[in-house]
Amino acid sequence: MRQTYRRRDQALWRSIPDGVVLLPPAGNDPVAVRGPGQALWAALDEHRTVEDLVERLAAGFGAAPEQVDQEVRQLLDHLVSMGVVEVETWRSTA
Amino acid sequence: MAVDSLNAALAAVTAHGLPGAEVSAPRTPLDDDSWTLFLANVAPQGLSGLLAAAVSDGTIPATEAQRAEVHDRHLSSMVTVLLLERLLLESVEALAAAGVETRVLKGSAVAHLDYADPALRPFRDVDLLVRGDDLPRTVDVLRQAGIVARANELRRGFASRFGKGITLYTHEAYEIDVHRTFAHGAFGTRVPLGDVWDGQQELRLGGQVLHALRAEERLLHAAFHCVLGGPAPKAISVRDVAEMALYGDYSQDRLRSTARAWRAEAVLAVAVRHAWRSLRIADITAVSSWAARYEPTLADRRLLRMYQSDASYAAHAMSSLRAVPGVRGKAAFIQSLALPDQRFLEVHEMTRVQWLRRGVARVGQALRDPERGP
Repeated sequence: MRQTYRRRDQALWRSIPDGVVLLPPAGNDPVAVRGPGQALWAALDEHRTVEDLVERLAAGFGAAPEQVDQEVRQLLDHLVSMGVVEVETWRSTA
Repeated sequence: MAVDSLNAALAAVTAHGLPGAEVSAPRTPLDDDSWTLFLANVAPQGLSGLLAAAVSDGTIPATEAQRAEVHDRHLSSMVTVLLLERLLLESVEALAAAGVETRVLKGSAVAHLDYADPALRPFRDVDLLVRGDDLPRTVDVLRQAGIVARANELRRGFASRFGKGITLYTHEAYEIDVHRTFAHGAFGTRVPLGDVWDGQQELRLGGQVLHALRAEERLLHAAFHCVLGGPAPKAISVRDVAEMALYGDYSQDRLRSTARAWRAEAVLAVAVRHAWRSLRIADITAVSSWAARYEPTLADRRLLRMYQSDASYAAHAMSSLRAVPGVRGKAAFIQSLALPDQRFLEVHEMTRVQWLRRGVARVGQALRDPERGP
């Protein structure tokens, strides 16, 4: 089984110079996500695993994956809890 | 800050990202007083998105404090945009459930369909097009959601048949402009709305599929906004015309045939010429070449002057009357103007005789000098 993450279509958003501002589907308070959150949001345009996201952000920031792993997972959890990122579970094919 | 310098700085922001625009940006950060005056003009001109981009990439030099201020204001305008898009989605969904077809106009449609980054194109209200016959039902559906009109209709059915549209407000004072056509007066009356409703372009937003005007009609609507809104168009309206004319995915032939069908070639030509001139665009394109050569008729030039002055409602009503087809249509139009509903008169604190006297006086004035304000 593997899990992938992707932006919810229902989440409205706009880019801002140092991040992205998001309006969750259920909620009236937009939230600004800055710094690495901007790159993470950009990478969530398609279904991606955590490992894929960590690799992409590490490459983007010129860092080793293990240096960004924890921050990416925390940001991802935050975006999921906001309701702007959906999680899909895929059954692995043999 | 001198007016010329202010206008030059605003033009530089308006043209940000247009490679062919030969406008000069300030070379150093503005001093405090100039910055205050400049920034006070940015939001009313719809330029917060373009300014944020220009400051971020250094095109417009700014101090750290100025950059922070620009970013804060841009964030604030984007928050408004997102809440308006939520309102747009809820309104369109409610109207669709009631069988009312819509087209998303301006703001959200232009931001997503005509700009590479929708954050460059802020907006302050929601604009929807509905069929004239659907206007009463639209008002009813939105009223049930707490979105109401503040002004009474001149006469029941006037907006559906002759008016430009109706403005409604949410509890939070967000504005929804429900349009029947694209301008008041003759240029609005001339638009063959049946043709407009024959086509659409998809706009995917918030997981829903909405419908906007086709690219050619969006450019024409942008031209209407640029030219017919009074003496000085908003900077973002000028940018809309430039952006669409330069980079829009439209057919030249269909653009020209649609402008002809709308009897709005003069509006398109003047809008494109204005955008090219005010932003000093060096690109020569099919539409800019056509616009440079186009000669409006005498009647259209007079009509354009009326829109670009502060001409009275009576003057525009007279021009609309000429454009209303058929004797019965004209008679119904005159009847509506001459005999408004009692509720309308009460809201305006006038008797029927006072209304008629004022109308006659203003029509007389409009006949003598159509371009003069009330």
